[in-house]
Amino acid sequence: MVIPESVSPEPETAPPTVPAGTLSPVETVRAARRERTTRSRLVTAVLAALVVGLVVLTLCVGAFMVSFVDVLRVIGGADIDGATFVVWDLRLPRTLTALCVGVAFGVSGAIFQTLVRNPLASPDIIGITAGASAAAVVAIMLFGLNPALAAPFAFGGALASATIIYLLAWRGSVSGYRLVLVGIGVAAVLNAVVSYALTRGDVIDANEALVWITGSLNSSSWGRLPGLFWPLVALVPVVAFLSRPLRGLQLGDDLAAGIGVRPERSKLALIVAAVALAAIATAAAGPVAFVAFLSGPIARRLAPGSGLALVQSGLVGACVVLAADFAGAQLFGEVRLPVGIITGVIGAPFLLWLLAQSNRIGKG
Amino acid sequence: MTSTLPTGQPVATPRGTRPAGPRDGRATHAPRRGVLVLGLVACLSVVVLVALVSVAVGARQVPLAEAWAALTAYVPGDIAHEAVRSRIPRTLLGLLVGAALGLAGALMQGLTRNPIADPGILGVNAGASMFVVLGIVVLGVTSPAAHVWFAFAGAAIAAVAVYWVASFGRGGPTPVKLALAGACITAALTSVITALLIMNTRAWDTFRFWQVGSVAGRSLDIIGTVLPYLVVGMVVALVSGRVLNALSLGDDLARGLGQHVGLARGLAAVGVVLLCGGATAAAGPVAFVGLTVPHVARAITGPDYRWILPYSGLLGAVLVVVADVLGRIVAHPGQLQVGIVTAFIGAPVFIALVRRRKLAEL
Amino acid sequence: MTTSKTTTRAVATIAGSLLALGALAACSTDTTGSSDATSAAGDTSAFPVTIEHALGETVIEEAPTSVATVSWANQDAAIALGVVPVTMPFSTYGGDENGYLPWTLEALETLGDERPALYSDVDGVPYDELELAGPDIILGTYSGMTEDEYSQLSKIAPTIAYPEAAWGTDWIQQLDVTGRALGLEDEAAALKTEIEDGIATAVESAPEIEGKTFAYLSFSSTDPSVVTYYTPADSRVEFVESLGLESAPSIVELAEGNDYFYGEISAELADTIDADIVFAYVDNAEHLAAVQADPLLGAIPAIASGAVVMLDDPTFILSTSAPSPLSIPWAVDQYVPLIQEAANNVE
Repeated sequence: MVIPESVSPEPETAPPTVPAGTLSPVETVRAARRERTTRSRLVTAVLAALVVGLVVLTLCVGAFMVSFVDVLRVIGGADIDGATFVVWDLRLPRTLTALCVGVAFGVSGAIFQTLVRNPLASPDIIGITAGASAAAVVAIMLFGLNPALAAPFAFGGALASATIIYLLAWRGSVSGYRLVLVGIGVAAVLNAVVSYALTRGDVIDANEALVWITGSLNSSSWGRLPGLFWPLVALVPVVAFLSRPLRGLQLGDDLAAGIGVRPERSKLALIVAAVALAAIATAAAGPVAFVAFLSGPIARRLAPGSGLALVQSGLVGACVVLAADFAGAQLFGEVRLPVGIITGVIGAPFLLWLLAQSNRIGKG
Repeated sequence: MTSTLPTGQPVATPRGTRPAGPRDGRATHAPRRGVLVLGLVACLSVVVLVALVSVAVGARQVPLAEAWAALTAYVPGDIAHEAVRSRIPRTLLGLLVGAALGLAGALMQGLTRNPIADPGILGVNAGASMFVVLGIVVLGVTSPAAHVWFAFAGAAIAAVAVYWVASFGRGGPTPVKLALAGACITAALTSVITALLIMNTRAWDTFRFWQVGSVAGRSLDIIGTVLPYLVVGMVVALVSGRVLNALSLGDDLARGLGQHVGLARGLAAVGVVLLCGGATAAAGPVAFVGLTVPHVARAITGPDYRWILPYSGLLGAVLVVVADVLGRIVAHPGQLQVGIVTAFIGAPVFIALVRRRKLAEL
Repeated sequence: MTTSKTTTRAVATIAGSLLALGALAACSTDTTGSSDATSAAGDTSAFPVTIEHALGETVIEEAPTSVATVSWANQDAAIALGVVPVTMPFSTYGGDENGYLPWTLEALETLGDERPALYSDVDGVPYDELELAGPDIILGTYSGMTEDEYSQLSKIAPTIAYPEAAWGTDWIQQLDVTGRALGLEDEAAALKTEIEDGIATAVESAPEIEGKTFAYLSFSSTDPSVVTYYTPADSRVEFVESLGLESAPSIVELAEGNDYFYGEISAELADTIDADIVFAYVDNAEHLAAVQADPLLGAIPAIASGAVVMLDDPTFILSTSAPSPLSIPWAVDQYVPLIQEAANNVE
């Protein structure tokens, strides 16, 4: 809840620090670029520090307070009555899940936004998480599945809807806009399925399904973490490897092809990676609203001109999820709210603002 | 008049949209118009036919003679007669909602020069839902008749907001910007709705049934409440044909043709809000009718909105009533809500559309 | 570095606010779960006790002195046996503004009005709050807990899951398992007899309801064109059957081949619901009047004759859909007079 407020609209380009008259144009450009790089590094460092801070905060603070020293001792293997359970069994898997989910959503959203060249095109808008929701809600409502076991359905649903969207958008090539529009159409159908499934059955089951659709980290555990962690670890280098062509894609297909990037193949590879990231994150925590959507734009505003800002987007995603989960659990007295309620309520106005902004500066 | 255009695009030639266009009596177009009028009559008879089918078919099997008797020689308390008569309000509402959504879709598409405009896609339904939830949660409103006003206000506000947000920036409200603005506003409002409902199980129990659009079981009161708005909206829509033709040439050309672009847009937009708001208020969110129907209409009539609009209205009525009847048949002895059936009918059309058009046109 | 000033400031603000939030949270959370006054005075000689359940075997080494419960009915068996849990969930649905179901509250009041710490489970079980409450047993006999949840809970204290099927534990089993777990087996057996006698007495005092057929229906004010019926497999239907009523033949027929706990039937076929008595979920009395005035729904014979048990309160729904040793006697007290009244209207 803190993060969006602190994002002040930055000037799109860094003003030159040296009077232009004293330097050649080339030097001015270099100076500006240097400055951007410096800034980008600084932002990365600050975000990383923030993530660490939030991790420490979520490990220490809660209904059961644990001192930082005890947290370190527990992680070091000490067995402290109560603290070991709370820190090791509860908070550490939850915090790590939040971290991974945030990074996965953040990077996934940033890839989509860059590929489609529209900040509004993220997996939660164009139907990929809707596929996960539809599969999970149908399983919960129609087959009486415990929501905590919905992960494989969500994963399958996300992949299936992504595949369907991609195939339907394919006409010799996949254009970004067609992908978005097909995605919105598929999402609309899937939302109809969700609405229908929610009317089948008792209100209490429907309520549990609603919590799942919102996104919650409460079912995180060591047992479930590997299913999120290892795919993420495997995908990060893939994305890093593919991010050079992505840099080219931002220039537009023609230009990218001109500098030797084959857009179709790179696009497909990147979409697959982004979809996989969104799918594993959704399977782990449900479709936590707007994290994929918000992270990229926040990152790019913090570090303008630093290109794709994938690293920063991932870190912003982690910060958002960690902070929102903490806020949901701690700030509402007796009631603990699922993480997705917090990101949704904070994200909604930010989204509308971003919508107006992005259209105003003509990125539509 | 525009039949000479090979593209089939909703683009009229300046000649064809001259104020005197329809009355200039050029011989080459007379047969064409005759065909269209005939087609309209055919559509009207299909509307009557499906309406009759809708009254005759239901969970309870009533012989046709008996069903006829229910209309002509009604015996109060006779369960077969009551069953048949209970299908009348839902058929009327289906016709109204379908016509309203079909017209609203055509208006939206013409107004925004956007082939994928639809109250569901453009976030209007989400706006209505949001206000209904506010009514349920904040004011404790549970009666469907009272939901109407909230849905109406929400639909209007969302429609205006989406258009306003999408109209910023380069190129004005392009189709992609509108669709994204709609999807985003839907996502944003859905989040807020969830936050309101997650702690309020009773309100959630009311809302989850409302959010699936349905024409079943709505009372005549509700129809009466929304009828004036729908009628005004329909009149506005039907007289907007020429304006939409002019707008399809672009604002500058339209202005050149003597249209008050701003005023015309404003009036048509009021029509959209009345139609979408009224329909959603009465039936809940019904997706894809407004999207699908104008394209079918356009395929029949060509790009002239003076014809597209009436065809859209009639075909919309047919689609919704047919969807309602299908829902009764497939889920016997229960029923499937109209909103679900139209989503499954409409989605393939939407996707086909998006695939067919070149990017530049979007 | 000129451009990064804003960012630095922003980050400082974020960090500052987070610290403030942390401090706030630290203050507010320490107040929960400090009541440790309860103790179960069970039969200590019976321990250790081993209880088998669907997710494994749980060994309870000695008589538990502080009990925690999860899910929405398990506190009742313990409270019925005179043991007030140290912590139990807040009931969002059907509970009062303090989160208590009426029968739970009544029983707590008779036990000296000692109050457990309530936790919110909107976002699932808050394990750390349970840990803080320091229970030595966690009861979840009526629940749908997963393996993961079970293993987390087991790290806090020995945990009892459901005996066979998730959400498939009736009140007798709840009482039996809880009695064994707390070393109160004899008390549990006595209480079971007492409750069964109570039901029998209540039923005997109302001979007119014996053998009447019934349908358990839910009416929607949003869409009166369909009726939802609950099948004989549903726990609330089973409860009514336990009072000596029988499921109407039409419902039995509809439910055939439907392995779900409810189904829908169009209002056009309402007259085929041939029950003597209808249990009707409605929004309120006004809604019931609308149902009675509806030309189709009013054709349900029992609706027409006024042989209706009106259920307009979520508490009613819970009292029999989550049957517990406290909710069942409460429900019997509430239901029997209503059923009697309805039975008098049967034509």
